[in-house]
Amino acid sequence: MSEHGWFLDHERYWVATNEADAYPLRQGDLIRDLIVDGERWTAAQIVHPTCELGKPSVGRVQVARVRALDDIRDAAGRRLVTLGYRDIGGKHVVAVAHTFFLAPWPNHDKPAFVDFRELATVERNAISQEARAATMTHDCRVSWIRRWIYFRLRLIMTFARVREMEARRIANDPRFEGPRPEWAPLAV
Amino acid sequence: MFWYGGLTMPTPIDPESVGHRRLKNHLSEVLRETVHKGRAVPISNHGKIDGYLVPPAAVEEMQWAERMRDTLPLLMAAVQAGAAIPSTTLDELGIEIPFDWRKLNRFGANYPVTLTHGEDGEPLTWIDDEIEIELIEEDDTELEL
Repeated sequence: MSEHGWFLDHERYWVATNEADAYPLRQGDLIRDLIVDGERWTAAQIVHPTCELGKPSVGRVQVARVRALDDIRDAAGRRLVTLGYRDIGGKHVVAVAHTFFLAPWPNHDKPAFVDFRELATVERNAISQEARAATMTHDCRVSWIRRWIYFRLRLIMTFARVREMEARRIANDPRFEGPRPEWAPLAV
Repeated sequence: MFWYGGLTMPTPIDPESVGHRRLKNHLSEVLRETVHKGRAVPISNHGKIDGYLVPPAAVEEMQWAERMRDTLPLLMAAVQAGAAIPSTTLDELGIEIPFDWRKLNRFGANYPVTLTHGEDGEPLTWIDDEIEIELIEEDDTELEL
């Protein structure tokens, strides 16, 4: 099944800073400066399901560690993370599935990646719009969900199929907050 | 000679064909004299060639050439774009592309590719057509612990 790669063009990752306030916190957003088990993480990504984030009973939120691409010592590793697949003798093989490439975000000019193996839970009040470093676009979240599904379940779908599933869900959610993606208008 | 897409070494073909009867009665001997030495053998029936017996390596090379037919356009596009795609094929050809994350990201986002194998080398099965999209009514009941 022919498909573009795992990740979107770096210009399609993040909502512009002057528009971000309209978006509530969602899965995929980045939070700056978290202390996790006594260690400082310069950034973390919310991996908790979005629909759970607003529930009063949710006391802790799941996040994954964000690391700078430059933290990977060898160039070969940086290439794998940036592309997400590799050619091995003509086979196109998924690579480093536990990672998701992160384009530079506003006020942060270096590429990074999130490591799905480095998960933690943090206090609900540690994440907020004020602490948010970057707001993921709806399209980028689709590519993120696609990669997450492959990592967690080893199931692979096209970007178009995942977006179709998201569109159906969002279009039928009258309580959806913030700007809707153009591919998921409210169902009537 | 067998040529596979003009990309690999040819497998020589024995000038003498082997008839069905001899193949049936002396298979081990035929294999030892020909295929085990890296040669392909024409199989004939009443003087007419109706097949070839080929070494396993030749089949593997044929499959490799098949994969290359799909891969070469991808690799050539990557080279042209200056995108440092991780590739054993490019490594074997001695082609090195300096890593520039912007170029690689843009290439990955725009160049179509068919992922064939999972991270552990298993063939990928795409499930687009396997999953029905249906809305699920959620229940927000909380547990009291």
